[in-house]
Formats: sequence, C-alpha cells, structure tokens
Amino acid sequence: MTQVQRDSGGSTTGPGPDKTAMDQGMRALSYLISGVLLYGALGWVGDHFLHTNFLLPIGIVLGAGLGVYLTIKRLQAQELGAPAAPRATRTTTTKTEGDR
Amino acid sequence: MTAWSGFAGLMPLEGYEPPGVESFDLPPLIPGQEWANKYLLQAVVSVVLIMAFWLVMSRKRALVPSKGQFLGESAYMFVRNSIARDTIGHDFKKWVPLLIALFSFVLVNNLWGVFPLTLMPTAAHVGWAYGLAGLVWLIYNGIGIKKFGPIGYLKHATMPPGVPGPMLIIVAPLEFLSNIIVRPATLSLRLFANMFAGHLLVLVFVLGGEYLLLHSEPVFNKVAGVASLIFSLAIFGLEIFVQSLQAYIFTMLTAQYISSATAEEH
Repeated sequence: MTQVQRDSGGSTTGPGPDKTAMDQGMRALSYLISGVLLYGALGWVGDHFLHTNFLLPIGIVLGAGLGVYLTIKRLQAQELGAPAAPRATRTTTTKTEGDR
Repeated sequence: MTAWSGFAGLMPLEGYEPPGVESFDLPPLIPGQEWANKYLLQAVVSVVLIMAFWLVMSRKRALVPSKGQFLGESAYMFVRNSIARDTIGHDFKKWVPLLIALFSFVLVNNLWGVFPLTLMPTAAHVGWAYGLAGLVWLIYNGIGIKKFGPIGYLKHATMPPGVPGPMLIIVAPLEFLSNIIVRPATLSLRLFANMFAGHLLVLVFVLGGEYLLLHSEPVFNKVAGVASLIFSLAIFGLEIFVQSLQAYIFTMLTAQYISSATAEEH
C-alpha cells in the first residue's frame, strides 16, 4: 500500500518518472548480470565435473532468459502498483458477477 | 619492416612510454608508509572542505540569500528533493544527511580529477570505490534487517513479486544475487571504472601530446601534438560532466537501494 502511495506521489512531481525509469534500467542490468553469472557458473561447474562442453552456453542463455523474465515480472508489478487497488476491486466484482 | 620504412617519420615513438595501470600506483607521501598516499590526502582534504562548506552555509543564513548561500541552498535542495524525496518517498527526511554527505564526498573527490593541483580522482583507486559501496551495502542491508528482521529480510531479498511457485525456486537465487552481490559490485565498479578510464584518457591526450610536441622530430608530429593538447581540454570538459554525473548516480542509486530494502511490496 505504501508502494502505491509512493508511486503516485512520485509521478506527480517532475522527475518522478525519470527516477523510476532509472530504477528499472539498473534493475534490468542487475538481473541480467546475476542471471548470466549464476547459471553460467552452474553450467561451467556442470561441464567441469561431467566432462561435457555444452552446459556453459546453455547456462548463460538460460540465465539471461531468467534475467529478462524477472525484469518483466518486476515491471509488471510496478505497472500494476499504481492502479493496483482499483483493479483488484474490479476483478473481485467481475468474479462475483460471474458467480452470480 | 621495409614496408614501414616510408612511414618511419610517423612512428618515432621508441622513447615513449604510454600511460597505463601503473600510472595509478602513486608513491607514498611519507616514505615507508604505503597507506599515506595522495588518495588519502585528497580524501581527508575533501572531508575538511566539505565540512567547512556546509558549516559556513548553515551558519550564515539570511532571509535574502547571498550568492554563496544560494549556491549552498540549491545544492542542498537538489539532493533533498530530486534525489531523496523522489526516490525514498514519505520517510525521506532522515536519509537526507547521509545522501548529502555521500554526494558531497563523491563529487569533490571526483572533481579532484580536474582540479589543477591534484589532477587525480580519488575513486580512480578501486579501494575507495569499494569502501564507499561497502558502506552503502552495510546501510541498506542493515535497515532492511532492522525493519523486517533477519528472516523477513532474507525473504524480502529473495522473493520477487508476482512470480508463481515453481519458478520461484530457479529465480530466488537470482534475485538474491542481484540484490546482495551484484548491486554493491556494480555500484563500486561503475564509479571506479568511470574515474579510472577518464583519468587514463586525460593522461593519453596530455602525455601523448606533450611527447609528440616536445620530444619528437617531424613537424607533422608537432602539429598532432598541439591538436592532442587542444583536444585534451575538451576531454577535461567531458570529465567534469562525467564526474558530476557519477556523483549524482552514486547518490541516486544509494537512495534507491535504501528505498527498495524497506519497500513493502509483498
């Protein structure tokens, strides 16, 4: 709930959207780096012990993909953040209407 | 080799030692004390200057501000409003002192890179960038743990919002890595690499230009040396921009980490 208030408060002042854009950009970068690092490292470890050579590239691509996935999820959560309260009530009302 | 002999006039650079990583290994100011180097001196002087600046600014307040007070107030309001308030939100006031201190320290220490008597940004030595990012890391994890408790904060740092159950198992380590390890690493390396590369660029232009102008024979080289020295002024201008921008980004990201460590989004 405080998230909602902060988002709406930030967008009313001038540099608000700018700041969230920067936040999202840095987050996306951070997720991509972490994904490639973590699953690339896992792939490398797998290659090293299983004596294969395809796990490292698979890990890197998978990690990058998961980083993109997390970024999308995070952006969706932020986008839903502002109109979250009205949308939640709307969905519940449609559900009850459906039940009726 | 014979093919190059026609260009011999273009490459008489035998005595030239290009600047490199070793250009950043400065001799200690006190012989035998490795830690007492120029970086430390710059940092200490910057702290004294910053403290003097903010003390004078807050001491001599007037209703109709002088030019100096106007400068100080706009700097303060810039950090307070466009960094602290817009990023942290309603509880921002207690973080303003920290952000002001960080911003002043990073800015002054970056600007040492273009100040004629020092000409070396403090964060061009990676230890200073690590130290600053370490401080930020302790603070934002500390307040997160203080707010949610150790277990609660671990949950907060590993559970991305809106991800369904099974995906969470593959994605939680990623979120943890991103929040706890990649963030401070990128924070420090961004500052360090910008300062290091900027200073190296200045060194290449100035030292290369100086060598071409004074220590090489052909006229063409001397012309190139003059051009290089003139361009070095543009590089200095670029550096002022990059140094100010990096101080802003460092403070901005600190505010963001503080904000996201305490955000209630679950």
